Amino acid sequence: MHVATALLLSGLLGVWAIRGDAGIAASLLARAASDAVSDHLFGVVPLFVLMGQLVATAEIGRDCYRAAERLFRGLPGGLGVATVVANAVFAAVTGISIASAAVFTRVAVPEMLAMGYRPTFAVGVVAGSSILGMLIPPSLLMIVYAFLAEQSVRAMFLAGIVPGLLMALVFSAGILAVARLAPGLVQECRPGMAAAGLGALEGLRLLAPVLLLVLLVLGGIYGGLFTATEGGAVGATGAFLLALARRRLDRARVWQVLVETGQVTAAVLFLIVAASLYTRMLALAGLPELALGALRGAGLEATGFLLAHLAIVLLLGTILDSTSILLVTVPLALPIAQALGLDLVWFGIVTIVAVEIGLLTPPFGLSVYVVTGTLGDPRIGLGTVFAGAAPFALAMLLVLALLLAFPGLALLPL
Amino acid sequence: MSGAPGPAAAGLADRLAAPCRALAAAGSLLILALVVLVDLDILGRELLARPVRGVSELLALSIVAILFLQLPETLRAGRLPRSELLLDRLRGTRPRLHGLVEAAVHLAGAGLMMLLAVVSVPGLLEAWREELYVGAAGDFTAPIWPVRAVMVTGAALTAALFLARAVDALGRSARSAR
Repeated sequence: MHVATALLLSGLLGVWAIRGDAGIAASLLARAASDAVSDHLFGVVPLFVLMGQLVATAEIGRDCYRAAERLFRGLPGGLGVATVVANAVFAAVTGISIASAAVFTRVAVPEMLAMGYRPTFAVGVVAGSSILGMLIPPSLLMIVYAFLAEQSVRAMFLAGIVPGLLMALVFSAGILAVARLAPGLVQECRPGMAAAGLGALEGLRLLAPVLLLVLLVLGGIYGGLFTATEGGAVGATGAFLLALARRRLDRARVWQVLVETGQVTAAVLFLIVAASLYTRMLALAGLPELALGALRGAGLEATGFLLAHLAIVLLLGTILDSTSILLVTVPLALPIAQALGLDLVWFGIVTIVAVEIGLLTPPFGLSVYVVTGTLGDPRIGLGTVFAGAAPFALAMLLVLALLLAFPGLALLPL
Repeated sequence: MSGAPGPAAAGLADRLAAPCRALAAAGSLLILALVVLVDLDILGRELLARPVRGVSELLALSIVAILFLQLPETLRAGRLPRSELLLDRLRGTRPRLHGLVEAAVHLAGAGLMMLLAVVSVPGLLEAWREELYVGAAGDFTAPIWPVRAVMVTGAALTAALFLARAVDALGRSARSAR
């Protein structure tokens, strides 16, 4: 069943049952559809999605990888670290993990295989580090959460920086440690250095456009020069010019980008509409209060609630896609988190990290599917990619624990 | 976002391809227009100290329009997120049951979207008759009815597509029974 229709139906039938009036339910449905997304704030959705699509078209991912490769190729497991670092940089201009997974499968996997890296490791690194796409701002998930929780997109973007970088650091450290302690897991053989690395200047030249774009968009938003929505428009324009300058755009390509953007946008907005009706139904039913009462009755305060919430999110991660998980869980969890006095921005970041673990876990690990599909190599099946991504899911759990233990990591005093 | 691509066999749903694509194309152009609009606003504000009037009102209206322009094609392209773990398993082992469940799921969608289209009609009529607008009179105003019309059209087309899919699924189910 489509997640949005399921939410809408349960919202509709729920309101009907509670109020005993089908008319009220139907008019709430109409109101949700016309009002839930009717705010200029929601402009961030199509604009950032468009920016992400254009950035992918402009082959910025490849440039990031080339530059990172130059830096790290001398290290054992260096190409793995390069993939993580390139993903982190790329993540700062894209808000969708799927985009990262597709781009780096094409760019990094063939290279690693040619250098004698084990296939399991190569695809695992790409799938694992692709989750940085939605953890390092801009991020579609942060945008959606901001709407659900009525927090500012800017605050969410700010809070995501440190956890995102921390995640990249943990990934890199993990790769280096494994490459040193158990090199056989990473690389089967080490042929001599293939082509000579790029010069430092060349690396800088490759990175300059993407750094400029990051500075412009995130700098502009953080610096208060423009709103998140305007940042999206500026980013989309910048990415468009970049793709144009590289001759990566013809009319057909532009159209394809616009069509893709439209579909991702519609899917997300429709989910938000559905969630708004569902949220209202939950509130009418008084479920958040009920759940809160039950929690308190069971002697579980904030810690117990958080653990239960994250467990549910992780569990849903095995059957639903990321946006849907947020929309199903947050409407119920948010009022409880608020009543327990949790910081809602921090709560959002923690929830998003847990949601993203679901991108890597079977049976519905979307990133894993994308990597497998993009690769199209019959020797590397879903199982291989899931196995390769598993250590990264574990590393994410570790970062999640760190965030729980040290909430300050997600709360920059800015 | 994921979803199975539609069945390869030509069906009722495929006949709706053209109107779905047409609406989506309009939606895509609207996204492009938003980018230009916001850029102009920023440039005008920062360089000429003259922001474009009504940007935030237009954004608010456009987002709803984009949603309902793109929705039918998004459903058709299989890009509406759904949980299909169970269904996928059924597809292989019990094709007949799979068809029936698919039909039921799509019928539910059709009913829901039909209801949405119907309950949105009064809003459209009201906006048309009373010439409702956003913005402030004398400064910037934009009529609301076009967006309401898009809502009704998009919801109705989505309902029709759901219905066509349900019929197609029933047909598949019947065929696999033989």
